[in-house]
Amino acid sequence: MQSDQHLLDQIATGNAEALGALYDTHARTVFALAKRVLVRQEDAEEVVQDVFAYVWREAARYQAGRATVAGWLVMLTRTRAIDKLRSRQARPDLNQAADPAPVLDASVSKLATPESMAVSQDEARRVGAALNHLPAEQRALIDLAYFEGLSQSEIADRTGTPLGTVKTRMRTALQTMRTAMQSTTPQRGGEQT
Amino acid sequence: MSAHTHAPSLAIDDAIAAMALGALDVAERPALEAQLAACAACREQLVELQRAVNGIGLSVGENDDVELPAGLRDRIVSSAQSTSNVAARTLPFRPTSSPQETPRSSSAFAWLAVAASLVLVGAMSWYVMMSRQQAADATSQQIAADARSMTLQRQVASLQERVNVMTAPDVVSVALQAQPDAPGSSARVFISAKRGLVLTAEHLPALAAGRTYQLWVVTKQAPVSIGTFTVQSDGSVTGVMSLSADATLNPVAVAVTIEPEGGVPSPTGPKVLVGMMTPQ
Repeated sequence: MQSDQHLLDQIATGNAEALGALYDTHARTVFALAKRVLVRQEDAEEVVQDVFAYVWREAARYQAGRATVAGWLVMLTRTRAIDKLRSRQARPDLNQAADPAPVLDASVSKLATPESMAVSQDEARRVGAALNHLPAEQRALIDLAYFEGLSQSEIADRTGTPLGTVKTRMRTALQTMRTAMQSTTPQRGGEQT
Repeated sequence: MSAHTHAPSLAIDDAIAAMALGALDVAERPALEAQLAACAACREQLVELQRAVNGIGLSVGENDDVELPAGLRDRIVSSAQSTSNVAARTLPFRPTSSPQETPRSSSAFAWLAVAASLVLVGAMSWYVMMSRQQAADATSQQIAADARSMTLQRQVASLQERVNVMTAPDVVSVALQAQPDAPGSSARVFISAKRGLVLTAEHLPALAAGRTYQLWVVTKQAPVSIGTFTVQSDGSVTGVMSLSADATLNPVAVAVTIEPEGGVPSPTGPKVLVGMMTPQ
């Protein structure tokens, strides 16, 4: 199997089959995340197409040795899925009205850097396991923020929880996941591809 | 929260965690950005938390039982095969005119630019033809002429792309104004939802290593990245970029920011050029 970086190099030269090979490797993750956010199959499918169309256009810009390809795809997917969720109110089980965000300040992920997308599959597994073991009230906050793109104030309003409590729980939950991610990682250097 | 504090505190930890999740309220963002600018430990903490956040998304694929839609792979590959991803990726040319006019002259500028581009297309097409003829003369000359011919063909194709966008029935011209981080710079974009976007900019400052310019179409929902670009030594750039469907949904402004090399999903750096879109 060819490496992700090799596939991206091929994609950058206009090799559509390489894009297909990258799809074979990562489409399940991309689709699962999009579907978790958007629920509707057709919306998730559209996001997958958007993500791989973006990869097709921008493969040459991918920075080797910093973000993992999977981490990059996850970032792209989440951003697009939440944009779609907000702009089209696509989630049928929610009554939340779209809240147009201020110019240049509405972002799903702030200050994303290639390093921030350098997460390995093993680390992701540990994060996922830690997520599943969070106290229910912390888990709910993470879900609202990560999968629905809500801000802390919006979460406080939605759940009726004091804003200060939301902040504390969110910090605690993320630190737990960070610790889990790092707990059996002997060194960081080998995880970046 | 103090912008001069150089070590994370509990309140700052709260804000960094929210930032990592993309959940920080807009009103709190400037204070945290100032803090991050002054605190290396805070930046490192943010990156680590963002990695954990990224791990949430990666873990979903392993935990959720999903079945990929039938035919999706074929549609993606077929779409890619029918769309060149080479020509629109880079912005290799100098401007064909000097867009120093005011926003009111956008129509005249557009036609001047179109006319100039058409002349260039014709001239370059002729030169391509001549290059091919010359290439038949000798092997060494042929190699050089072929290379020159291929370069010119790409330039012709790019010029044609520009003309195609600028003459689109739905094209909108937007003048971008210089911001304090790039005084003296200027730019204009031509946006067609159907055909793409042409960017022409001048006098943009050289960037530090590891930084790049990134172009955004700001919609009522969110800023949408159009792509990153570099400028020539004189600070100029002209080229065609493709638009995603998201970028055509209620656009209200166009902006250029300075970002980490490779670009970012959402704007984080200083805005150097901003132009508001007005109803046409």
